[in-house]
Amino acid sequence: MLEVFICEDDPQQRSQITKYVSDYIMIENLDMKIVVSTGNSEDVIDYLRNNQVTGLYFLDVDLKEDKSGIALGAEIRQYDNQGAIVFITTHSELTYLTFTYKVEAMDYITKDKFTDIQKRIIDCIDTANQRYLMNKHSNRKVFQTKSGDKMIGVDYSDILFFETSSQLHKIILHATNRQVEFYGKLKDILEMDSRFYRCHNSYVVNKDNIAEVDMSKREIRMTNGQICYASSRFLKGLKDIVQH
Amino acid sequence: MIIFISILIQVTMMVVSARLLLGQRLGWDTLLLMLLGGQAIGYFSYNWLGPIGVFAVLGWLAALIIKRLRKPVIGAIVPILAQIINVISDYIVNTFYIVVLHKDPVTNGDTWETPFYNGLSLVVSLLLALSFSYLFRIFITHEMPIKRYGLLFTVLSALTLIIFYVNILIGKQQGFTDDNIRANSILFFFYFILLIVVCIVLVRIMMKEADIQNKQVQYDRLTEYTDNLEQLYIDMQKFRHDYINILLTMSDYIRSGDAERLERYFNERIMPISQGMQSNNYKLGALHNVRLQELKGILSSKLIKAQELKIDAVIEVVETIEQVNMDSVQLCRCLGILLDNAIEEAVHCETPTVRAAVIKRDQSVLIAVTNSCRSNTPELHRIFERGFSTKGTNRGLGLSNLKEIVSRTESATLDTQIVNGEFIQLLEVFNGPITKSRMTG
Repeated sequence: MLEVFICEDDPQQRSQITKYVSDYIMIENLDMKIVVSTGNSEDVIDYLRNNQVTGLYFLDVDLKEDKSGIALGAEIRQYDNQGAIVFITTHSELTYLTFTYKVEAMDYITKDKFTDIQKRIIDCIDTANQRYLMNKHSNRKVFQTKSGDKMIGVDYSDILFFETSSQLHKIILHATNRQVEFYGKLKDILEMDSRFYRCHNSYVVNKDNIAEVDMSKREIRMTNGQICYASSRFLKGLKDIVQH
Repeated sequence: MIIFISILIQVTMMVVSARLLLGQRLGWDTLLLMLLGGQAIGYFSYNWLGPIGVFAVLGWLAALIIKRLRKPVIGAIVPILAQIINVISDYIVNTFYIVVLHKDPVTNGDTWETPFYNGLSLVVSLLLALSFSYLFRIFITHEMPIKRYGLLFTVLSALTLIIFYVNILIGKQQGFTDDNIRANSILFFFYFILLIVVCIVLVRIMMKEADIQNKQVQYDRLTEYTDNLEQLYIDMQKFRHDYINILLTMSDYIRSGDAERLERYFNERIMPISQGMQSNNYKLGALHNVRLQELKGILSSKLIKAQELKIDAVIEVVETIEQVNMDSVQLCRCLGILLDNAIEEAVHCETPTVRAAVIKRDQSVLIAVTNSCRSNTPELHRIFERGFSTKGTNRGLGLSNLKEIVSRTESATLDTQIVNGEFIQLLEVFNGPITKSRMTG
């Protein structure tokens, strides 16, 4: 079950939001429940400390306490890294990227644009619910690694190859439409999945995404046309893989 | 046979010194080609021309390096420097033989002494090359010195080498007496030191010049930013002047209970003002949270440029940024490339937007730049290729340069993605050294 939290310090707006949410849950008969609706951020944290949850959080950015909604969001992330956080804010568009990358917020709703808050809340509930259901029933596998504070998640089917950077300890992951660097060792990556193959001292390739291997040039063409390099030492093993 | 081996050792010395001077830039295949080709050319040209044959080998090495790196000046200068180092170390060992061992070094005889002697000078030249490479690396990592003084350096070092060889040839004619060798050693040594001093002084001057230029650019950017703030202040003044009048008018309508006209007045006069509040000038407001002048300068100048191009450009800095753990010149170069790319691409879109954010995280500072992109944007790996650009040749160096700078910076990582028609670039700069906990496979 997806548990809903609402933290908004203005009592009138809080009851309004709570009503929107509970009405929608009832009408659509969703597998959700409002567990906390409060003006005090501590209530949210208290609940999280005592319960293991996947939540949907509606947070006001400007709480009337020392802690801002963004800080609260960051704290929530320590307990629930799967949950969906939605910020409600008056700072129209000025903090979109910050929401996304500081606490990996799912969405944000602006108050001042005289927009239909109810509709936006319903949108968010739908998205969060879909995401929740997908994660629960999916057999889609995601490669995950931690880089500092950030989790990097890439579908295994999107991964083309890994390459060591000229800088020690840095690895570049090449995926379809994404290139991301993180700190790590190729050796550890090789052990993470059987579809990875060491084709060069500084390359690990995803066998599922090889289009063809040019033996004479020692190049591997990936399904998207990108070129990965192989060394003669590992070429023979590669030949066996391509043939099967 | 012995000549073959001693030439092999000499060529090895050249290749190894060249490799040391360059840093990590050559592949093993090139090095092997340099060695084998150099040996073949060296062996035949020595039999034909004598010591002068070394210039043929130098030409071969230079050609290979130029082909590999596509930098003619560096390609020419590196082998010459390598050979100068070799000659110097040769004479150091020579003097060592005469002064310490009281022995006559036989440099072109047919005994086994020669390879041993060459081996010794190999070691000396390695040490020299290592110490010299540090200086040289500073020289080649900066683009500007090469452009401006590269030719001068090449001519200077080539002249040095030619003078060395003229001396050697004169010495050879006189039969390499001890006095002759000693005099040459001293001459060569001082000449070499002179060369290094000239290099150091030149590099110093260039650094200073670059520094001043940098400061000037920063100053210009900050002036632009100040102008922007002043404009903002004038706007605020105007608004302050207006809003008293607005309130007066409204209170009139309210007093007379004219709700209809009040509504019209609100919609026609007050709504536009509130929208004006969100207009361009106010979007730079968040920059006050950036305490790094250089960073502030580049962000403001690029965003102002974007706004002039009618792009919806927004900067978000929620928390105070006091420090970013990266060389500020490199950081500004990276940011400049990121923002320029974003702007260049966004201009072509129907609803152009560029967003930038500087976000403080627990262990790092994250700089995010996103922009809208066209639907026919090529795949990511094509964009990253050196020299690739949607705007013809010679313009696509930005992204690959960025990648190069980031890969040289230990504390920074780059994450590039295209998601739902949006181009997203995240440059994350970690505060501290890379700890074990951060390295999870």
